[in-house]
Amino acid sequence: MKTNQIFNACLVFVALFGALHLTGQKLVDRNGQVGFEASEALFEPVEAKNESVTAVLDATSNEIASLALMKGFRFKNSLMEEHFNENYMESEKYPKATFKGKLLDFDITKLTNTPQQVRVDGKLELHGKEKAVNTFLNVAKVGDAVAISGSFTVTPDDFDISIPSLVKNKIAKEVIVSLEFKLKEL
Amino acid sequence: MKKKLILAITGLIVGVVALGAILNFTFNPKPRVIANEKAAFFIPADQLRDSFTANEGNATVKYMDKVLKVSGKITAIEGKSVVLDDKVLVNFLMDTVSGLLRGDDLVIKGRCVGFDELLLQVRIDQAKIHKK
Repeated sequence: MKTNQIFNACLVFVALFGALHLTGQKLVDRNGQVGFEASEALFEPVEAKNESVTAVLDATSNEIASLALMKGFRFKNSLMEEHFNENYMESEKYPKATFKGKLLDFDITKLTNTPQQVRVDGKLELHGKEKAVNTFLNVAKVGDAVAISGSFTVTPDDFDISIPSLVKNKIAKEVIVSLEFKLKEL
Repeated sequence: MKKKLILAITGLIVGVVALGAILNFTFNPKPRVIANEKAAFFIPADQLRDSFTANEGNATVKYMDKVLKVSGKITAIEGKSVVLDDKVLVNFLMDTVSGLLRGDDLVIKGRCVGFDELLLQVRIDQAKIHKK
């Protein structure tokens, strides 16, 4: 009788632990890529890339979070990089950009090699301001990873970033942000 | 007369070259080479992370964009990244790291990018191995 009880307790424990493990399934990319482009024709390209962006997807709740450190954005022109950090983003005061959102109608167990369009609803925060971002992402299974890519548009105004009139015509009004993540179980 | 003309032309050429050099230096500065810079701080990985979790604002002002030497034990390796003591995420300049094993003690030199609150790790990029 007693051994039976212990056995039952063990079963309950295993079941609970197993369930916890599943709900806690997190997929992570520590070196995801986020780039942006705000070039105007005839002027020097305004673009930068950050190749060490963090992305975390909770595969059960479908919540997705991402974080890019401002100082991680690299420009070809180092003076442009300096202006980006010091004058526009004020990176010492606001060192990061974060996105927190949710993948809608997404079921990771049904994911295949063929990319599918998944809607994401969330909020992008940078320079101390927040903006709602709703866009479609391409999601596919690549080996043991979940590949997510996509792009969306923001404006400097969205985040209270003022562009001096001297360079206003050299920087596009709309900034295209693109992203590429490969998330794996850690 | 001829002498004066030669002098004027030489002066003009020197002036133009100097102006060009100044403009080039102001508007086209050379990118930083972290490997050639002297480290501003030499700090163990856990102390570096703890200073960010204690007061992120102060630590950001103190360490961000500075060249640091960081010591710790390798707890993870992936591609061109290693994690020191689970607390500092280091991205090397080269594409892959070879000759490093989990459990190795390591000192790296690189640039502090800031604190990643999702991973709870401090990020270092453009790193080089300082001492194995």
